[in-house]
Amino acid sequence: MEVLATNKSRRARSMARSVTLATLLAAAIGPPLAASSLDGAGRIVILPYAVNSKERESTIYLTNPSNLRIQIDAMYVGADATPSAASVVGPMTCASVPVEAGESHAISLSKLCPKLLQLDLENYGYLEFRVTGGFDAAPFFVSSIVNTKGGGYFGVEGVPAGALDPGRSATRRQSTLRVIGLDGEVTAGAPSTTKTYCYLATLGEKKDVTVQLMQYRGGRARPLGNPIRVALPPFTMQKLFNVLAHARLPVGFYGNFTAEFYAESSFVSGLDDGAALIAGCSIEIETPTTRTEDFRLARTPAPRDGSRRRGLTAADTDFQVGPFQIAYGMLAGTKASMSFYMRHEDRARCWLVPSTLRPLEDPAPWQELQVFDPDGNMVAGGDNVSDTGVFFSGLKNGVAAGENGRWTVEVSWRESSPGVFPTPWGITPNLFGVRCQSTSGVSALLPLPSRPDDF
Amino acid sequence: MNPKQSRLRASARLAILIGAAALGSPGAAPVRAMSADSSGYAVVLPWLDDTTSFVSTVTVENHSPSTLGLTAYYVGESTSANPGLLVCSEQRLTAAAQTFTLEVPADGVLQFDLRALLEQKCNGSVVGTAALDRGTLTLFARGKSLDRISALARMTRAAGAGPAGYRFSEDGIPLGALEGNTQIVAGLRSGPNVRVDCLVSSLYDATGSGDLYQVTVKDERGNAIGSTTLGLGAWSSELIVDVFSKVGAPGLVVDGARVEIEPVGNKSRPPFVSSCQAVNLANATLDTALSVGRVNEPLDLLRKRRVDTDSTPGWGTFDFVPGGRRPRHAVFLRAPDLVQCGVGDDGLRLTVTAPDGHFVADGCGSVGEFFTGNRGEVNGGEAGAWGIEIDACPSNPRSSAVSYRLVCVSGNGMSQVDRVSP
Repeated sequence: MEVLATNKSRRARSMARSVTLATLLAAAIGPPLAASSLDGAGRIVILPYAVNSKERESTIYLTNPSNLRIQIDAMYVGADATPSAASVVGPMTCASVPVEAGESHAISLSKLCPKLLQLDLENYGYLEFRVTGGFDAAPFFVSSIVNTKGGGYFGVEGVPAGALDPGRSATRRQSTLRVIGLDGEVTAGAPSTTKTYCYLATLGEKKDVTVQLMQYRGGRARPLGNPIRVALPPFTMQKLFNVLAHARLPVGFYGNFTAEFYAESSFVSGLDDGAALIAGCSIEIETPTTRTEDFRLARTPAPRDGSRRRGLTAADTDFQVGPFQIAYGMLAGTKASMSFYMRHEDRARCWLVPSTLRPLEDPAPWQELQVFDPDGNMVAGGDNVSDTGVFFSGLKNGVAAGENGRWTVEVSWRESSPGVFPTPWGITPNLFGVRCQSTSGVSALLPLPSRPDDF
Repeated sequence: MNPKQSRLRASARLAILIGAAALGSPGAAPVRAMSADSSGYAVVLPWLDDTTSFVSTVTVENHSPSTLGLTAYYVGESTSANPGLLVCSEQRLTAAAQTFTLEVPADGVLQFDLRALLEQKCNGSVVGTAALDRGTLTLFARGKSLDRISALARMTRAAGAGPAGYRFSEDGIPLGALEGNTQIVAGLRSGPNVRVDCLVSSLYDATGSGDLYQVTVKDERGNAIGSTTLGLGAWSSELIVDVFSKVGAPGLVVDGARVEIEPVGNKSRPPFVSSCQAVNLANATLDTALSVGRVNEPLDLLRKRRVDTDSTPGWGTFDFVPGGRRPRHAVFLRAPDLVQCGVGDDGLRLTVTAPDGHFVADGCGSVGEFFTGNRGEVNGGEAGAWGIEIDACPSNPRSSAVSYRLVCVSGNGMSQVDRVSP
């Protein structure tokens, strides 16, 4: 890769670490920050659980934080065995709601979806909200409150559709979707007033889901009951009433268990099903005077997201960036540079490995690497260092004025110890490989132009 | 510096900061957010109670293959029994009988009550039957490792405070996901029998100066009803009881109100966490919901909803040379999403490809809004880097070198459309 530019500014020092009273005063009377993006907002937003019955009803809040008027289209996917089940009547087109700039629009589920069949059975399902229009539209966000008999209520938050994760197969337990800290019981006679439910739903793709309850005993995660297998066509939802009974557990109380959700790997390809899954569990309390649920959306400790990877992220002479294959040779006298996105405060590590082109050659003893924060400060590695070890990113407002940004890793040949110019026997010139990892997730590495080796 | 000294220093600084706040501060636009990934070396639980009505149970999951010790930073709000920072660990035990160990087995789960944590693991804590605790808890994986944890807290009705039941639960937020920009708590209701309380807590602060927060209540149309200001040093917490009364609108009936918490004093933007809940005054033990404040303007170059850029650090200004290599860009997207990109020059064509290489859209000057496809239809469900290539528009080709600018919008948030090749 040719050297295209030098970037002296990258060495610029970070912002002053101490804030004076004068600067604080200036900030207090200064202009507001520009509002151009909204984490958690989306153009396709899923409200994973909404309810309508004589006893309970969701009120949905559509908030438009932009300075544009937007038109939000709603679609309801009724759960199986409810009056407007999508598996019977299909996904239901609901109202198209105009929301003015800066407005929060409150609307009940029955008004949003007036075609809901009103029978004695409760309606429940999920809602998809969508705004189209590209540059002329803006993201929005969704929240809801479910009013219950007796005056109590509970809340359910909307999530951007892209934040819903497919999860992975059970053999990769680190990446399954899960709800932790559940309680429940199986009774022999009258049902308990406390019920533990789980909900499963699909967007536009089918998914075969396995639900495995887990309990941690004796220092190990152990399956609790039988796996529950559910086949979900596109745009459908199923509720697992008393998930403990579904797992065929005997009568008893079960505390602090986890519900894990995953798709089995394909027998043919060995790959995981990549379709998104809306999964959640709730604990419902029903008495003569109240009926509330503590609804929890399943989350994953390691999302299938190349921009927030908890596992290894890699760069190599054989550099793959999304759809692009980019050859990146590291000539003697030059250094390879790469950037990655990281959200600090975090702990991270980068280290050198053999190139995938020569996996049996380990050039690490002849190479070195260093890591820079977004302000251009070197935070790890350096001369003759092949592995940064775990390093701390720095405090949130001590780096890049509190903004998550691009970090840089540089790799070059060592000048000494043991010295490598010319390249030692048995090590192919120009090749390198590097890995990085962090606890809050790092992106795939992106190539930067190579530059003269200065370390 | 011990926690008590830290509190005193913070108080002295804040006295100055709060005086400065009287000079006024700007308004802010609303918002909120949600994250589906849960783990990090540290996670934050925004609001825990241990009162006569409710108790809090914390569940922590260890994602590493070895037993993991924890350190907990509990920050009590200023009117509670333990105001300010308490550091809790197996190295800071109290004289109380020990009923659990603050460590999580490999690939396992630890569950404990806030009361037990304060009584047993937080040397210096004030405990007793009449103690009322309310605050924010941050859990750290001990040691210098890449071990990760997730956490969840649930509020349960206390014994004798009515029928057994849950009030709400809350997910732990990875520390790296918190930031120092305006947060909003949306979808709130207020009225004669409903009181809205809010809790604002700070975390580490690299400057040590703390920050000022303007708390503004807005109606459903986004109009400000009133505001108040509070100051927080590092690792401190303030409860605003009845935020509507606090801003001069007691008992106002609003369905769809918002509370915005805007940092106004410290330009380095120290991170904080905020949350609100409604209390039914007729029966304070009724179930309710906790609404966590979310960032309005994410300080995150990976999750921007709009990117408008003409350069990438290291690569410099975007330029196109006819007959030369096609400039290539990479942008991280998460399907399903609605996306649009433009180059602001009808003589240039953009071609968008998915991470797995399949063609998605192209257009001269701009690609119209496109749907990414469902999650499983793109790259086997793995969100990744999408490609954008620039070349001459066949119908109106650029004949001379030109610099260009890329503008993209995304619903789920995206990275900076980095250039990745000459």
